[in-house]
Amino acid sequence: MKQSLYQSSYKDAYNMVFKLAILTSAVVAMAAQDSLVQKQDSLLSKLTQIANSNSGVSFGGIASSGYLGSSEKSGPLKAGSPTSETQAFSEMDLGLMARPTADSRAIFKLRLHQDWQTTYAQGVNPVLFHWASYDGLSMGKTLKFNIGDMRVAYSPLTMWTPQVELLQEPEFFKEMRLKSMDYRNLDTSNGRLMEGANMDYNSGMLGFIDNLQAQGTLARLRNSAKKADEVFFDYDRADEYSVNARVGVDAAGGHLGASYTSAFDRIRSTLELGVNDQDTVNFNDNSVISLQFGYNTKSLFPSADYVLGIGGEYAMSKWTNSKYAGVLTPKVVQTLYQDERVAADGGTDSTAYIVNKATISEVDVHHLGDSTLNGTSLLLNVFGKGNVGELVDYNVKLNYLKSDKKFQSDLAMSPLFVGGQNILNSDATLNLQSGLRSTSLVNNMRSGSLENMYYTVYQSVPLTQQNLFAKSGNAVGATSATETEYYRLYNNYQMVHTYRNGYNNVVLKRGELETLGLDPSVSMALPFGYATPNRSGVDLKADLKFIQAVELNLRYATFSEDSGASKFTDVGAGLGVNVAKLANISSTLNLSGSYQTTSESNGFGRKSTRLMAGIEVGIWKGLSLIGNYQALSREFGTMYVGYDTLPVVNPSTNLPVLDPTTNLPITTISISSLTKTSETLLLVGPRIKITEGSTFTAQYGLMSNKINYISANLPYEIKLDKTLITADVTVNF
Amino acid sequence: MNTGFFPKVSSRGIGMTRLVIASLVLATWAQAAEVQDNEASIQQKVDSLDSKRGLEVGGTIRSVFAHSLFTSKQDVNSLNVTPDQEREEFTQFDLKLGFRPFSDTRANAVIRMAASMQTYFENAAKTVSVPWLNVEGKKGQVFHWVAGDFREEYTPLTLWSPNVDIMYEPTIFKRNRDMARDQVFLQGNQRTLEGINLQYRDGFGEALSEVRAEGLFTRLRRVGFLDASGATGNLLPNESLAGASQSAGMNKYAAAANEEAFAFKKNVMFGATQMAIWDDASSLVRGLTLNQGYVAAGGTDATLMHTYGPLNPFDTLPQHTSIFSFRAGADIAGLADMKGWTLNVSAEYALDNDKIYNNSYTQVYTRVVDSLATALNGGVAVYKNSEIDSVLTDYAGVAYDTVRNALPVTNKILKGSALLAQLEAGYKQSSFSASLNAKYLMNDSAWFNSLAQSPSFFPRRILNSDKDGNTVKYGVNSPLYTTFDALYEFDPKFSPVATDLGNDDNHMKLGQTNSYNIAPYSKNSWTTATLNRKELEIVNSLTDPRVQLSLPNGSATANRTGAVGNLTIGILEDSPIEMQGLFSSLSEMSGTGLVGAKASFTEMGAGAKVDVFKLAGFSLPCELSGSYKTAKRTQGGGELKTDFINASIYTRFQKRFGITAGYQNIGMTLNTVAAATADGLGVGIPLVDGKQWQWMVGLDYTLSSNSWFAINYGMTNVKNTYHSTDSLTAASLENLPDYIIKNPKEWTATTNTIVHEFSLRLIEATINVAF
Repeated sequence: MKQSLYQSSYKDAYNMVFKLAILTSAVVAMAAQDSLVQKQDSLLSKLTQIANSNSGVSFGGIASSGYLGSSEKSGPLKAGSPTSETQAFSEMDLGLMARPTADSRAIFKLRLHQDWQTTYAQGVNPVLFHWASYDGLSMGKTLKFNIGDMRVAYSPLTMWTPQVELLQEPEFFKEMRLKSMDYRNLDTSNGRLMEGANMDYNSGMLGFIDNLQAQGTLARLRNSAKKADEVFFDYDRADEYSVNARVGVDAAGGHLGASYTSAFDRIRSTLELGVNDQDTVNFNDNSVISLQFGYNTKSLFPSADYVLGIGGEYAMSKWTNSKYAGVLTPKVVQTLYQDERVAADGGTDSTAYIVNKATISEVDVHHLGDSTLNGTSLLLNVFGKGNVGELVDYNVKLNYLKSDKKFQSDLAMSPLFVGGQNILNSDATLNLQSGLRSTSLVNNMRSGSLENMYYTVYQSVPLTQQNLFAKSGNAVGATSATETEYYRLYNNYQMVHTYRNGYNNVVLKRGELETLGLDPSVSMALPFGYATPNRSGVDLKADLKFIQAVELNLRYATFSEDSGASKFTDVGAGLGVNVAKLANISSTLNLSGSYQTTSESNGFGRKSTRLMAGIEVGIWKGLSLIGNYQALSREFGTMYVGYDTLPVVNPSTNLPVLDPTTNLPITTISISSLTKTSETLLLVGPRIKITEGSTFTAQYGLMSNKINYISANLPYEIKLDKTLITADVTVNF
Repeated sequence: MNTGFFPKVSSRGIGMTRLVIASLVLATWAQAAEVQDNEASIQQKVDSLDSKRGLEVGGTIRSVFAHSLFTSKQDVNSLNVTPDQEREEFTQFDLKLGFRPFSDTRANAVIRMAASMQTYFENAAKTVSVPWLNVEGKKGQVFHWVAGDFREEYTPLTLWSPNVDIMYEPTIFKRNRDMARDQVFLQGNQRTLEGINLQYRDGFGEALSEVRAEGLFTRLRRVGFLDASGATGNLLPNESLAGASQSAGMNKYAAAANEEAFAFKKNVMFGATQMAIWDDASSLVRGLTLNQGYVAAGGTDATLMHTYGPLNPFDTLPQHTSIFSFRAGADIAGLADMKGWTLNVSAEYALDNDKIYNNSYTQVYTRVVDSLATALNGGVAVYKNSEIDSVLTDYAGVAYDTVRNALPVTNKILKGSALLAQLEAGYKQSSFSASLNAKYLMNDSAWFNSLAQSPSFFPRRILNSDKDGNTVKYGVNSPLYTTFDALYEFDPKFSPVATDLGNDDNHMKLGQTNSYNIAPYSKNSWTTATLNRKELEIVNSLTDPRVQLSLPNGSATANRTGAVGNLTIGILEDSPIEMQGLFSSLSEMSGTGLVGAKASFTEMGAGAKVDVFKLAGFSLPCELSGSYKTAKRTQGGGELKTDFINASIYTRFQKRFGITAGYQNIGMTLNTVAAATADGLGVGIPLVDGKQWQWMVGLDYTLSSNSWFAINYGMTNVKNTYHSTDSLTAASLENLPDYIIKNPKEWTATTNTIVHEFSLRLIEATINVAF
């Protein structure tokens, strides 16, 4: 049987080589006009087409086996607290692609994860099914459609995922960040992750019109629990839907377009389930209408080695909050029942119908009213890109933004990175002063921004009532585990995938965005991308490349609150040097580094500084040595300040001072505050490239997180150091 | 090394890759970074296209219907209310996928899809799981690596999975055993592990024919909380015994290195192995658990209801074992160039250092008064990190004083050693062959190596296990236990019947047996678990003497010395007539058990297999086989004796259609001394005479040795006689079924015996297709 398999394989290979031979000649023919990059893109797209044009089913994915040991041996750890945490696992992200037609494909992605070694404890180790989509072209390839999971972008003010930009981020860091994002199905595009249907019509040339576009997108953003006893992590009070459309026309290098996006709660989905007495529920309805224009010189000067352009968008948003409440209302109810009665002749065989009236209290849902915010935002940009011979490639862009405080665009604002999670060594318990606000402040920062950005813990563990979010039934406070209705989950027969991850893929609402407590080291000036409300200012981005070997990135931004005192200044520069190319040696030697600082004057008075450096040295064949370093400091200003009422303590006895009249402790107000964190992360290690996309990597890492805080008016500093040892082998197939 | 996927020789060209790369070289004015990114993507795409050729799909489809009807003369009044019947109906599809993006690397996964029959309306009845996952690769023919699931064996004293040997086991039964072992991916004596395995093998001419350097790193256990009352992950649910729960508070790792050199045309061998198995103390985790002692004492303060305690309170001290082994061997027949002869000798000596503690449980709790909080609390003491209170007791029932200091824990290094010498001698010519396999072993009582001793067979109750009630967990000592049931039956997703039927939560709570919750679990005696010292003690106390008497942990069994020999004779070409004989004489090196004397073990057996059709010149098989083995353990004045008879017929009357039949009979007797000194979990009244026999006949349609369709009918009968000199109490009858405990009229005061008889009628239909 194997022999026949190989035979058919060879036959396929022959056909493939034949197709590629034709492609190769096409590439050579184009070479005179297009750059190599364009040719490569074309070849890549044709290879993709070949890969996709086979009808039937194909597999692809990534398999890896690895070890991540994190050891936290310094810091104020409680006695007996575990100091190390280990992930040792095999994982496969298995993609199954089915192609019913040459122009469409259904993609299913399965995640297979096994932790070493739990075979003795393993019930059913499940396969996570995390992506299902059907995508393709129709109507003579003019209509592109996506059904199921999809990523769709309209414009920065309407439907967009603002990305985290880190200048000259070294290789290890970038890979780890992308992997952490991938666990939440996020990628580096600006497409908004949604589930629903998307139709995009592009006419192509119609007379003088280059393209006429019409697009419609429907998605369900949230799903409320439909059963009282089964609520999972991504529950919400109401179903939330999104209806979106846009139209556009391109002609003579210009573009005009209009978009409509919306995100709204389906109020009935909550009301159907009932609202508790005295419970207030808020429902949101957000819609944005935007007009866009753009023009570039490409069609005017097609042979020029530069393109100049201008673009802009003006958006008007409406956000309505509808408030409902459950109110206990007395009601008279009548019940009719049948009873015997004594008849005139003294017999009891006669029947009477008796009305019983009673007053009961029922919860009625009252609509308390709506409040509406209307806001606008204007985004303009000018850009120029091109090259000066082979000496310099440049890409310069200037953006101007003016958005008012009331502007709200859920689908464009929700950030990718939120941070603030405990990722590594979450079982370790810190010995902090109990009962003070500083405890929670420090605990929220113990994993640090770098750890949140680059590390994820992913496990397949037995499902218990502790990792199932149960709405009713009191599992924790019960006197006996058997008394809870979830006892049947208190067994090891079923396992679940769980993870600790600092990224967000949910479309957040205004209330959630306002209380997010975002990491000031990531996009402090524009935390919600260009859709950030209450900003006016400009930013300048310049990327230069000299003789294809030296890259220079420059960033400058200044934004101030449209209403409010805060002013943000962002300055950054990055430099990447391909030393091997400069020195004309065949091996690999890349150096990169960047420095970026953002500060906020007035307002909270925050400041963040990030320094990155990377080196990659080719040693021998596929073996290279990589070193990555990053230092990050965050000053929080007055962002995290809390007050505690504390007893005044006699320092000699360490006992509270009592009021002589009341005999109660005398109290004073004390300040708790998080002032600053300073983090560093160093990763070094070898990498062996087995083939393109398949590698063996070992890393030794040192991560340090110094937290300065004030507790009971006194300054403290703690330092949490982690030693990180990672080894993994990854195979792309 | 076996990953189950990698072919010995790979055949795949790289033509396409070269072609694409060549086309890109033509253009030289590249933009470096983008070009490199694109090159990487293109290379990956080409590799991905190649992988379409490298996809291998295999698997096993298995469908089983089994119906077991339980009857017992002692339960004519149906005192036991659980069902008399158990039906197993399931279909299982192990889909093996091997993705090979290029010739030297592969990613493998087994996706197991399972469904119970007639439960299509129950979504949860259908499961998809990943029991096997790894990536592997090789460099030439000399270096092979695998990360993830793998199987490996070094030697019987170092890395080994001890199996059960049954001489001329009837095919009709053996097939079931193979399926049960395949459930947990057991193959031969290879141990299943998860981690990294490296293997280097290269030759350097005749003088140094082959050098092997191998190494592995594996995590044997990860930190994790497991419900102690569940069937999954626990050897003995709800038992307050060290080793009963396999929940781990610490990560446990093992690393091994194995070096071997084969010289003089591979006729002389030297080898050494170094291994370490250790707990990572820095990963010790404490979890918030219900404080049983406080709740039992009537405590109602919600803040004290849960306390931080070790995830497994009986496994809190870090273990560490190191093992060193040295071995040498020579193929004398090969050195002397004796054609037709086999004559080789080898010997292995192994040492272990195992860290043991005088106290299995320690946990330091300190209670510090938070003076500020206490003052704010009106003077009522508030403790910092209030983990434990003076009214609390731990799992072991120890009450704490105000501050509990560490129990005085001391440890010492226990040193053990094992020796295994083997002789293989044989002669073969066209119409006759004979081979003698003899081994001598001397393993002292301190010898410990869980990677070689953890048995693959831990006898469990399988069919009609609801009938046993709470004692089902004691396996071999459970009232309705039979060796046949434990060896041959399995149920991948069994849902116990609640003893109090009803579908509301109260019934579910009341209807639970103490040892198993109502959650489904996999019933199977075959396991890949690597056990720690305490767990191994429990498993060894529950071995089945009928099949595991003298060497329950294989050749690495501790506290044994003696010799084992096996002679096989084949007559005529391709041995249509084959005979086997075995003899073993072993004894303990130091006394054990209640008697305290050294036990000695003797085994003798003989068997034969004749292919009648082959003798008559037909191409189809008609195999008749049979064997008899008697085994004896004597200790002090006690004697335990077992007799095991196997008889089998297997014939095919057409190319694929055949008839199989098998008969097995096992008798076990204990004399009064042995019975009186029987110890072990779940033994109330000792068994003095156990007889069990089973027969089964069936029709089968066989495609290959791993693919068949069979319908079988059979019966198992058991007659167990229990005897005690003590007075009869319910507690002393704990290993008898509830219908006898409720109605012990069988007890005869004059003989102090109870005879318990029961039988199972079995109908089995199996489809097993491996492709």
